[in-house]
Amino acid sequence: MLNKVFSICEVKLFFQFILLSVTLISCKPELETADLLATTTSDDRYISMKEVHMRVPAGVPTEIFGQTFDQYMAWFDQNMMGQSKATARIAGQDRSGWELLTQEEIMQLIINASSKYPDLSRHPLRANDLARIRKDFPDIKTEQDVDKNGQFIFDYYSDLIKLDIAPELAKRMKAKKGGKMASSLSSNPLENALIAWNPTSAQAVDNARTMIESIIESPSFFGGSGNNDNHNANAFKHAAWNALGVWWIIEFRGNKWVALDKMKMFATAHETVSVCDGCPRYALGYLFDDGYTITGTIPTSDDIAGDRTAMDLHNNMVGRTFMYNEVRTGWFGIVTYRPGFDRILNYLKEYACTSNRKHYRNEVLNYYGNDYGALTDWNYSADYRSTFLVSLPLNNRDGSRNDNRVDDVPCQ
Amino acid sequence: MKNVAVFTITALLLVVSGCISSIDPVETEVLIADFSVPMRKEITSADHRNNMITYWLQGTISEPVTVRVRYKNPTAGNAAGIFTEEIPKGTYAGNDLPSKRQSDYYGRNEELIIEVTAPKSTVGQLRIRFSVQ
Repeated sequence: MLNKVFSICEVKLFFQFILLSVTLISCKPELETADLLATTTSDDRYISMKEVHMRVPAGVPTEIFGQTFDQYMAWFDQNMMGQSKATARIAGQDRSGWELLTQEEIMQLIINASSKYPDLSRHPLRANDLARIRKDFPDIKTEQDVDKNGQFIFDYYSDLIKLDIAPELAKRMKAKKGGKMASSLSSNPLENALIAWNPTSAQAVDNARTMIESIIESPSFFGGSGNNDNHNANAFKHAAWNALGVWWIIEFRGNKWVALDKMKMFATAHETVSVCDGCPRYALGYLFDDGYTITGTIPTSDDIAGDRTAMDLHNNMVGRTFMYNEVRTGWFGIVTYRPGFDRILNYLKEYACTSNRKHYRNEVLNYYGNDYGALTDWNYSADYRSTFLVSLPLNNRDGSRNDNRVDDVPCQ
Repeated sequence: MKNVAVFTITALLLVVSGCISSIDPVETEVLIADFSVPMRKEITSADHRNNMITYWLQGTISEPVTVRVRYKNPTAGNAAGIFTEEIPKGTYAGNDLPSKRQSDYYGRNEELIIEVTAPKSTVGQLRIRFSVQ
């Protein structure tokens, strides 16, 4: 009897071992380079960028550091997708590949890859993370040095994560193009490409989104009603998401200005419905400070889609403007003060409760000189535009009641 | 041995489902030719941190219709649903704007109900493909 029990246990152990192996093999993304990076080798190179001396690990192409969006797109097409003629444009023929991925799978790859690099959101840094940074940046000795060069170090590791996840992204794109998902264009391609290009910022923005989703569903904020669209609680949600996104990018040691810029980029990209060459509708304008133009479309019609887009873009900017006004910086751009979560949430909740205006699309645009470029492209607003949130009127433009609109929720 | 086999098969299924099915968006498609009755369809969103609904319209409608996605088991706070969108009358090609529409982000792993209704007498045919991720 005892022998039988042992034999069953052994069999169970055997299957558990097999199961564990299958789990590890089937779930582990193919991240080829990251493990090698922590160890310096004679093939490493040391270069200076922006007056910072940094290690380029063996096998890492120098060109991946500091790529603009179009450079990244071209690099990805040529080196990952094997295209001889790169489009350098998300709007080109590579678009369907980015559309096939989900944000969730890109974020999962980023989270897996980032665990191999220093956690820059730690204050103070862990000892082994600081040691790794010293190895990668020979001139950086102390945590204060890290703070002084925070944005550069942030970008360096973000670029390495970008490199790590690229082969797996390409593999999945190719597999989905040839598989059952080929007809399923499921995502916002611009958002996906931006996430892959900016892994660390994307993580920060994702942290903010997850946080605000959780907050808005809790009864303590607007009775858990914020996930419905078009009313004051949803306006709060958009503003708080943008403010928290800025907060999180700074937490990862990004600087204030880049934080505002990146948050704007992700928030505006989310409102684009399509990205294409020669779109018949609205050209989104200069989404990036390097002058790269995204020709895309956002809803600009005098209906719910246009109303909602203008409302969301405005409310997003209110959150960024709050952080622009609140965050203080000192020497080397080091952030000396930023508001805590309580202040961010309570301040913006107050806006939603006391400074909420009901506007259609054209009324929102009036505040921006009827210029969609301002609404989509400003990182923040330095004047009265930032002092109120917007939700949608309950009536149609002709004055008739619209039963599909949701009234503002009571503040509680 | 039977227990071992059940354990193993269950565990393998969990591994397979955990590694594959949670990634792809949940998709469904409806074809509406009779607008006199509301169309309702249940769907469970993918197990993602932040879900978003994208949908594409294809066909022609003589009057506006309303597309609404709401929670199957609403609380007092979220009874209004995730979004309600009026689709103007006209012809839709099934690809970019104005055929393609998307929602805000919302919470994860929710049981949802999609509803398409026509407030006025409407003729035409509309195919709507929903992707919930």
